[in-house]
Amino acid sequence: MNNDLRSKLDRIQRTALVVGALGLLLVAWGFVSDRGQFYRSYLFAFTCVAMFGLGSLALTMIHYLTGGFWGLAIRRQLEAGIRTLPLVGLMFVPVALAIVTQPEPGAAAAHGEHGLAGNYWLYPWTDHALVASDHLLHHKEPWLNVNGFLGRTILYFVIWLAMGFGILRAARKFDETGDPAAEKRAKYISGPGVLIFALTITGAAFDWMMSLDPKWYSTMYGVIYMVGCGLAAMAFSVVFTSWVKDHEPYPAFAKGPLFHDLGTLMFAMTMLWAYTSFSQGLIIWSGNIAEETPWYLVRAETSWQIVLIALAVLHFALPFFLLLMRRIKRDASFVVPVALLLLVMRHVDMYWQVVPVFHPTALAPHWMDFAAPVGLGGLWLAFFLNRFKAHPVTSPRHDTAVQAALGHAHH
Amino acid sequence: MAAKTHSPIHGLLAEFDKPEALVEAARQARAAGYTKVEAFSPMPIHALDGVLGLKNRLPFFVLAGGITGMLTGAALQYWTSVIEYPTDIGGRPWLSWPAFVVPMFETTILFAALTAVFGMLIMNGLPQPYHPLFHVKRFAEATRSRFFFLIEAEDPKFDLPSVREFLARQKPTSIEEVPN
Repeated sequence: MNNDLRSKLDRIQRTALVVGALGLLLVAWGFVSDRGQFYRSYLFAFTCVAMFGLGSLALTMIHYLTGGFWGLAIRRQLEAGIRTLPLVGLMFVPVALAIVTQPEPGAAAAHGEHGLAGNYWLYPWTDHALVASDHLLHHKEPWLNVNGFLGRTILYFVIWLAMGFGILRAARKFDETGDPAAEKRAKYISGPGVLIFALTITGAAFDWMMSLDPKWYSTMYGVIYMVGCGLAAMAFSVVFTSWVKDHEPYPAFAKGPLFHDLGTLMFAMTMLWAYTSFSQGLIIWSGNIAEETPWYLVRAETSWQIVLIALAVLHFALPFFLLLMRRIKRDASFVVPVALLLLVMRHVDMYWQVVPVFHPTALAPHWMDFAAPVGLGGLWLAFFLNRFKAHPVTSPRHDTAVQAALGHAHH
Repeated sequence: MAAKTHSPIHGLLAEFDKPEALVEAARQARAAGYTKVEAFSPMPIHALDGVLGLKNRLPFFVLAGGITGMLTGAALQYWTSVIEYPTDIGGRPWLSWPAFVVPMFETTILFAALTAVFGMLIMNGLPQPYHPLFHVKRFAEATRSRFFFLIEAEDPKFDLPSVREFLARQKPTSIEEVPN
């Protein structure tokens, strides 16, 4: 990596670290002053930051199966994204803390679309008295219990880390020796890996987010989070590519055609996000049964409706029409703002998914809802850049592959 | 057809054995001010689009087709569900737009796809059972291994000797008159 690029990334890393530390400091104060709010904001922030590590893993595996110029061009940043997964796992600790502890009796929570009053921080099913008195929660206890939840999350992270670092090891071996068996091994991990990823992330989304309201369920829920992860990682790739595009070795290929490819994939995932999100709503609206509709009544019929409209316009309609245009996709100065908009809207979407369960009557933002994602996001970005710089950007074999793909894709 | 005074020839056709030579000839012809020109190649040459100044307007027609399809789908469902045959389904309002979205999406795709196919055919002037170029025997090679460049007689700057001289400067492997 040349020194210009290194010092530029150093600068961004320092800023991210300072901003992230400030956010975390505020949140740490929140932990002392208002623990319930801390847990609620922290969980929202965690589901946001996890998208980038998980999305990087998913895109890497997909690219090993499909090939293509776009994935070779952004492979190094996706690999750095995979290397952040241990940090993401560490960031889960406060959520685990919210599950193994309970608030003082008297500070009881009563959130949820179904208004489950009990003594818990985040998840109604962590309150034994409530579980014992509620037939449905009691019925779900074999799945929704503290040990099961923690065990599953640990299992998910072990699987993700094993697949991610297995691919990284094979990729490094291929870079160093050119051994085709090594690249084949990365593909062999990726094939079943995509399937395993879909199952594990569905389980994670069900546990982390859907079980906030243990009486509500949607089979589409995991898919929506999975697509959100892919979109977040892709939008971040566009932004990151724009940071490095003027530094060796990027100028050779990080040009209009690459931004065109990444923009097109971002467009496809934006559509997929809208498709899955709308389908879930349509199915529940059509079914119109009392177990399912409260989730949407809270999010569409109260002041949360503003967020829903913002999602429809800024997470779908506007990026859809902008990314329809070739001229916007090919020009970094146009496509990067669209990617930034999508990054912001990914957070807004998670906010709309996760937080209304705590404030079912009205949209009520708290300062920690901003401080927590800034803190975790800043820390993640700093660690990501640290990992990106720690490994070589180029290798003779990787460069050959990029050049071959470049010639193949664009005359 | 009788009203139109026909030039005895359709144009002058130069043959090249390399795509680069074709692109260069096209560039020179545009620089020299010829406008009624055409290039033929057995495979796509992306550089030619820019050189010939070709603008593909089909995407805009496809977008318009898609929007028309969406509005048609909306109107069709509004008419059946609200005006002509309102039906109480689970107590929902007549105008239950969430249910309209999927058919609207389908009509959007249908109209856009049909516009793309037929728009492409119309703008390409297809089907075309006769073309003067078919008189030139060697032109069949345009589908296999040769590259051709045509300057049409309709070009305002067309003057047989000077066009022939211009094409000869491009070092083609042959030059032929295309009869009309």
